[in-house]
Amino acid sequence: MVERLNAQTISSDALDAQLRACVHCGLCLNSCPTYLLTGDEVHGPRGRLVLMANVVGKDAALDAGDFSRESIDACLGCRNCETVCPSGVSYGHLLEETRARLGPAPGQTNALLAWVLDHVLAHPRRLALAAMLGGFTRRWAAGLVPARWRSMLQALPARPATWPRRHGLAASGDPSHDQALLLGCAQWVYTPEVARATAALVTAAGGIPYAPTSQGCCGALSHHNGSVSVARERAADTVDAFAQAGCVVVPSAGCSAHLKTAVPELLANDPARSAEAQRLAGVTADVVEWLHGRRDRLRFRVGDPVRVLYHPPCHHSHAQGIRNEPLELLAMVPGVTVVQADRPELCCGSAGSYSLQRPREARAIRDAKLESMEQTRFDLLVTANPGCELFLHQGLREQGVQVPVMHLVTFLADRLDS
Amino acid sequence: MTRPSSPLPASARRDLVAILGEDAVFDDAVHRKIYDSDGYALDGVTPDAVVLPRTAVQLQQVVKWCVRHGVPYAARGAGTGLSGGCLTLGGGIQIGTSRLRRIVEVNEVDRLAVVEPGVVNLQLSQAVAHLGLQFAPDPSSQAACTIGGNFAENSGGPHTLKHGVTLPHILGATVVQPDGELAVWGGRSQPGPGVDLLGLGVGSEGTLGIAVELTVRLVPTPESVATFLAVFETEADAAHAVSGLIARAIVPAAMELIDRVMLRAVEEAFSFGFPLDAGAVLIVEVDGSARDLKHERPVVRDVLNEFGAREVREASSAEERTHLWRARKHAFGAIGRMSPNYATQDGVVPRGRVPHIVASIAQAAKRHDVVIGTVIHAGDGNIHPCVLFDERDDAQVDRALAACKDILERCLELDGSPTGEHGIGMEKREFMPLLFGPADLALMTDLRDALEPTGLCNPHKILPGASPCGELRVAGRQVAL
Amino acid sequence: MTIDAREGLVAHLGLAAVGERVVRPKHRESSRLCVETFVETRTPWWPRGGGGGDKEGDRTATKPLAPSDPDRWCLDMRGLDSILDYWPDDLVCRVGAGITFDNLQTTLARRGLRLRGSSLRPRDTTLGGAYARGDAGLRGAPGDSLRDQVLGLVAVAGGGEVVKAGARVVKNVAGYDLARLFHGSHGAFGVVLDFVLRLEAIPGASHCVALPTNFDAALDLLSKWRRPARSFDPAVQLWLNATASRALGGPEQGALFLMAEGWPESIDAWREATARAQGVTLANEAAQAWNAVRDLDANHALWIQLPASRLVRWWGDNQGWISGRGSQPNLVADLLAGSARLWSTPSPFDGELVAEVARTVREAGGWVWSPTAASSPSPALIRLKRALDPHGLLPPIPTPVLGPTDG
Repeated sequence: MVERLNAQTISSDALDAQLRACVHCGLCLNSCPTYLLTGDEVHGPRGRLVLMANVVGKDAALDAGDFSRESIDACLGCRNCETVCPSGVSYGHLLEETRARLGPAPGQTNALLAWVLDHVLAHPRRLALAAMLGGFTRRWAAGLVPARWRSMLQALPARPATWPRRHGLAASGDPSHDQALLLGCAQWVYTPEVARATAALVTAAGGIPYAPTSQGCCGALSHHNGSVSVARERAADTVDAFAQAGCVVVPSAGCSAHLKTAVPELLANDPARSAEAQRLAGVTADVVEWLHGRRDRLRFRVGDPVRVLYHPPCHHSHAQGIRNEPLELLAMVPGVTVVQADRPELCCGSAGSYSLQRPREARAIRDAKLESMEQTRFDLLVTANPGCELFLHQGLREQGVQVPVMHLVTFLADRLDS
Repeated sequence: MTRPSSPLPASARRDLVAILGEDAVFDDAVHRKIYDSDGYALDGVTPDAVVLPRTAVQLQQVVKWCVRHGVPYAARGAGTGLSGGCLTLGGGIQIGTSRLRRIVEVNEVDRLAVVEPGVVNLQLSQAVAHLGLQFAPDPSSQAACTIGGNFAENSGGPHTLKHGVTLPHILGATVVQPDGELAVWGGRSQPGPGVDLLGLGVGSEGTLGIAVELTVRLVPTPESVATFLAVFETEADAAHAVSGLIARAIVPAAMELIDRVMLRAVEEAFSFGFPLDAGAVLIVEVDGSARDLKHERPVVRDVLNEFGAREVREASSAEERTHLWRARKHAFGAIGRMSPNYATQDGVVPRGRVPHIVASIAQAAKRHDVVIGTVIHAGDGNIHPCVLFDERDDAQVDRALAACKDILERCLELDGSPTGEHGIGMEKREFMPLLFGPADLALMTDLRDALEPTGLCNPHKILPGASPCGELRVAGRQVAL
Repeated sequence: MTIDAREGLVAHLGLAAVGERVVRPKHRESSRLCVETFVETRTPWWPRGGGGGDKEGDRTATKPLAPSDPDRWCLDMRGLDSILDYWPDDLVCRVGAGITFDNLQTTLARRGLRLRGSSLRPRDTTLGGAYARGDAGLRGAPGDSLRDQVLGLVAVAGGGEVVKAGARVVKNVAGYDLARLFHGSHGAFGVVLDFVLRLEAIPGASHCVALPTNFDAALDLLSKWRRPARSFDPAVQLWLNATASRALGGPEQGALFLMAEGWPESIDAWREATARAQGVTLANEAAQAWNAVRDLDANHALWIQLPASRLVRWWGDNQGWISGRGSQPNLVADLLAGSARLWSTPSPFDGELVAEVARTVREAGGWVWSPTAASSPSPALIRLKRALDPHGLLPPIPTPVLGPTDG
């Protein structure tokens, strides 16, 4: 209870005002993947806001939590509703506050997941070990795992995990000029080429990349999961690791969004770090954003004609308003035709740890996403967030589709004109 | 027929689950709470249960069950209505059509589509865009609202000035009648001889049956579009310019007036670059072939200048146009940020009397000491004054409601109507006797009794009389778009 | 009882207005008194206009023929023929229901205005008559029919009560739209006294063209003109079979008749485009061509409701045997409305043929309406009829030749 009350980072009055910004118009409904899946307004943003009022509203009783648990837990947190809201309701923020007060979802599976998020993810080597173990178990020993955890095991990425390497990146750099890279957690382990590609692109664009050694997980996943105290620790560690950095370039949409908005809020009451967290947020750029700003220095070689289907991560479109930049970067590459699925703005179902926590819903949402791509011919699927990349990769493979799936930077780096 | 809402008895639940399956019948507190209102949030009505059928047959069976057991019911699309039309006034079953969202057929030669009622308005237009066609009615909620809902409410929208409201775009409907039997109203052709049940059904606010399949017209997407923003010193000048354009034989696709208060709100929220010292702006959009626009562009400019526009800008790109429409469509969201609460009205006056009602709105604001921001579908004379108040101040609430009433009564005095597109629903029933005489109302009652003899299909709506109210809840807020 | 209807009518309207089972009121109030008299005396009656829709082709007789019932009184509405109000800023007017299309359009044209919507035989057809018959008048685009121009109306229902529907605003969703009750219902519920109408400016230019085409090419040509959808879309799109086309002086093998309206610049472009498509302009004066089509003598016409693609297919499958019955079938199809008039020259179709046409059209998913044959109305319609015509004095509800439950 102490932790839950402590979880509040903002006053009830302010939250109440945010809740009341909702005018109940319902324009958000059709933007919500879980509403589209169920047709049930309890699983739509407007309904969830009504329930949130019972948790974080001014007259909320904390025990009203049970009342809305399921609906809130089922939310992807994709924030598409925020993009379409005419009244500017800060849905994502309200959701995080609500989840903070409710705490992580109950149940053994969720407890295991929360433990993994809180204790394994932060340490890339631990994560690599666990991921390798998980991959091995799924392949050879799935029958030994209790049934209730098997679905989570199935939801692990289809790609093999690798030991995190530094790709020769320096541990420090010139804060006034160089670019500090946040290598991420799952991304570093499952798609190590992203770190390499990011470094190559930053260099090609005239920057000097380095990677502070003390960095770990930024805590975004724990935060989405409602583990506020852990998220706060990760935020503090991250701020410490990047102290002095004059520019932080982040190749994961989820992490860049977290650094820009959630970290300063989490550390608002930390006298030693609140100012630094604010400063850091100001100098953080998503890699796509950063590259777009320096695109006139990038040269791409002529390659085979290729139709690239770009899937925009929610943490770009809805959390950071990064929409056209990735498409414009792709369009710079000779031979590339950029295509999009129907309703590209809809979440793919990955949504942080959602695909592990609620595999059934996540898969149904992914199926809808893959179906929306069926009408479009493409040779390559490109996105810009590790979660989307791994989850869509898994989905395509399960359907027997062998189209390559990769991070935008991986594709761009491969096409750099050296 | 009035009964308080209560959760379903076990036997009823069992029956409904047998029809629909376990995952489509909800009578828990969460569902009953969330389905207790629509886009009209001033009143709340808690349903006994919410059911979400997946097929027309299931929906029909639910209605038959309701008829057999004397349980009232009401259909709901996306719950974006603005007059409480879908709420189960007096309790009953809320039947959601959100899972009936298949586009059954698109016929590009006959330019029609057959859709289930839960298909979202914009979704249909997007699905036929590659054919150069669209579904013309475009309520501002089009990204969320359903075609079944458009049918029930005869929805309008900014672009109905030229292309018409929903009525002329509906060719036929398969309807679960109140007695539970299926009927076909209209067909795949323009209505001709025969009782126009379809015309009666469009806009009957879901009180004469529930459409389970709709045949709608598709119209060609305009080849070219030109959008102008004209800045006026006074609202009156802008209002006069509207008639000026019509007099020059220009029928714009849309013509929207935004007043000073609204302009300021939009500018503060979104920084669109509107001049803050302007009295009003007029957005005028014309569409047609490239040659049409070649003719109309200079005429529009001339007329706007002639009526005193101090500046006329034309959107130079599709992005700029989108930007401008965003400003208009987000006007209510923007004004929502200025005030804790607001109430929106939907009156209509004859187009030539827009200047009169604009003056009356200003007077009402002054008389009752309230702030009113207004947007007007000026070509249609359809006004959306937005009265700001703070619910925590009882006196303010009273003054706001009094101002609303003044404005609507003035609309009636000017030969208008209290509602142009939102419907009477449960919200405006008391205005009906001001608009219609006893014989008209008696005939409407006869009409409803003849086509809805059960008294269970969305009862207590539209017509005034002894009927239950919702739980008035000024704490909510209302938005109109 | 009791006075008979005649006595009452003479008392109210004077001798001059009352003929042999026909009464000709001149105003709203005298019309109401007529209906009141019919109700009080329990006299069967029916409203009529100019006979534009008369199935007997009697356009001028002072003694109109009543539908099937010789004792039925006729309320002749042609006396209510004036423009009652005109609001230029709104482009709205209020007119008596007895005004003919031609009279209204001629008056409006002096101000550069018109009523969108038209009628076969506009010289005789009154607005009230066209509305009661649901006559979309060969202008089938969305929003183009008379139904869509009526913003409001005043009517007398079968029980004698005056009813006001709609208003003079162009957008209004208050209450049930009682105006719809009187559309297409052939006077079964009452009689309209006056309409509030939406008007529009007369387009700057118009151009008619008849593209020669036999049936085989019609579908292709249709698809060519409509796919992909063009933003510049002719306001009138008709297909005429060979007989109908020849009657009009058009191409021998049948014609796709297109009329475009708009700004002169646009119409010039349209003219060039149709010339390239081997279009044959029907007449230099577009209005003449249009008049020729709309004045087609379509007596005893069956009204077929089938959308364009199905209609063309249906005609292909059925024209053979229809022609084989010794008559010359004429077909004018309104491709935008999805309806067609089918009639025979010189002598009308017999009942057997009508039934067969209805059956095949039903199979194709449409309806056939005929002046003579009708199915029985649904229970809901019967209740509606009882509510609005409690004494059963008005003509029966119009229904298609084959109803939903027949055969």
